[in-house]
Amino acid sequence: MNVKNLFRIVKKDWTEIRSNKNLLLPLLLIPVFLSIILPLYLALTTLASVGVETFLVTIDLIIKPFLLIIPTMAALIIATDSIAGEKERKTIESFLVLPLTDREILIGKVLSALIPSLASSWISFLLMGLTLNIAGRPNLGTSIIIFGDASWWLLESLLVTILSFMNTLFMVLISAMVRNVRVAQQYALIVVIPITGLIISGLSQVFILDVSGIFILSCILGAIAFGLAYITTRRLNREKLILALD
Amino acid sequence: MNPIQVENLVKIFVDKKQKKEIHAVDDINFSVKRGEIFGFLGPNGAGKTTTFRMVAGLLKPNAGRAWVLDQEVTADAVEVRKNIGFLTENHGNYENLTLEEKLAFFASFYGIEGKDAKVRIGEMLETLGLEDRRQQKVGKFSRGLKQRAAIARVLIHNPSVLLFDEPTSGLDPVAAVQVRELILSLKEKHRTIFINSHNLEEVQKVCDRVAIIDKGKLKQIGTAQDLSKQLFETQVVKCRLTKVPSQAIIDKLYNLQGMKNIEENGANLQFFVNNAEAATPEIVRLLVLDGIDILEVTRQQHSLEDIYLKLMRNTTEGSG
Repeated sequence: MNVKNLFRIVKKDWTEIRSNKNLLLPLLLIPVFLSIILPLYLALTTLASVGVETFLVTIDLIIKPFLLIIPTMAALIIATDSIAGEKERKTIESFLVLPLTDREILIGKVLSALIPSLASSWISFLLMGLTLNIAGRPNLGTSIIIFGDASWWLLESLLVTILSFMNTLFMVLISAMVRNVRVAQQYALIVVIPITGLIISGLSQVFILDVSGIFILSCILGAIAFGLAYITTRRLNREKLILALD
Repeated sequence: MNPIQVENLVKIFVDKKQKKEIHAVDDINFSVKRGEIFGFLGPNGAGKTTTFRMVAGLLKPNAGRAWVLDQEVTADAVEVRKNIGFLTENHGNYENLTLEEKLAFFASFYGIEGKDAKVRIGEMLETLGLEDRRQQKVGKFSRGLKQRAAIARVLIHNPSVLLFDEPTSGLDPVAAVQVRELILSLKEKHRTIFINSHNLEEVQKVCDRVAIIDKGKLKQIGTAQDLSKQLFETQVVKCRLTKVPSQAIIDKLYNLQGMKNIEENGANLQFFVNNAEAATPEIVRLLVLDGIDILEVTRQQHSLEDIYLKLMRNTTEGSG
């Protein structure tokens, strides 16, 4: 496998995303809202009234699951467009003519969505932590929230990575199977449903994203991602992509 | 071995709804010589694009083999694709990219990067008259410009074998002529060119040889002249004379070998012969010996359209 080819695909896809406002705006606005505006609002309105201990429980239940939403939305926007978008814009055949192996195409397309998903998630995590610590400084005293809690780091480094990988694989697979981006996005919304469930279960304290919860969830999603990787490598090949155009 | 060589190529698709096999390409053989423009003609669904895709290694044949520049396509399709330029029929452009970004993207896969890419892109844009468009987004181009941009993409790595699938489809007449001229200029540079087209006039104008395919089978292959000889029993020679010939001369002309019929229209005669090439000097000699001045002699060529339509009619009658 030619690794350079993978990054050439990533570079092209990213150049396209950057110059397409319809893709770029939601990609920026969702993280800004979830990692700056919402935490800022909570820090300014609730921290003083409920106290630090209750506030920490609140952000653990409300804010933490949003770190799962951010990479999912990024994958939804980019990965669903990865192949279905090429079909819709009729560039797919020119792309498939390139001297690339089927595996390079698959991995290149997955990386095109996975790298921005992870990047947006990490940036959001850092912004979220900074926003809460800075905005909450008058009430927090010397204590540092989020960055001082192992579960947040574990969530970000393990669960978010596995979730992003699973989401991206699923969405690239969907993108390869359907003819246009809109249909791909409709199917891809399937993965948003369990995450929404996770947020609700967190709010109702049925499932809490503490260290053990994160490990359990990571194992489950890792197994699903493994299965998806197997299916995707079998499903996604040039011949099937070409024949789906006719 | 010729730059493109195809032997007993077969591609079968399965129609899942009707549960039957469709022989999209059925045991075809042909080759494209170095520096030749070879045309592929046939109705929709004849198997032209499927053949193209197999030659480019995008589809795997069920049987048979294809070679491009001595490399067997199924053995190493990636290597084959490095050496060909393929203008696909649906070659949408990356419309959010500038022309330079688009060409740089494609060039990078052929190892043309950095300064080399800039130089090569500059050369391509100059050749195709697109220098002023370098920093413009491809999405803002007219259809003709988009086609030229697509051709620039195909030529960016200087391939010696080119596959053009419907190269002038949807273009206005001026843009179509420009593309044809470009194709002919590539022939002058000894590129081997394989064209798939519905446009009979275009194929006649640019192709050295043609293959006519229908229902996955090759019907005929050769130059337009060869095909005309193979398909049409009668050829026509037209003569414009200074005066109306006498009945005695007409009788002599009827006795020429291979003469089937003569149509007289005053001083204009039409000779229906087996072999126009052999009969023309004989006709001229007889007329001149009998003191008749000849103003014009023309051999009526069967156009590719005549050939194509005759073949298609034969196929329809054969299957009906």
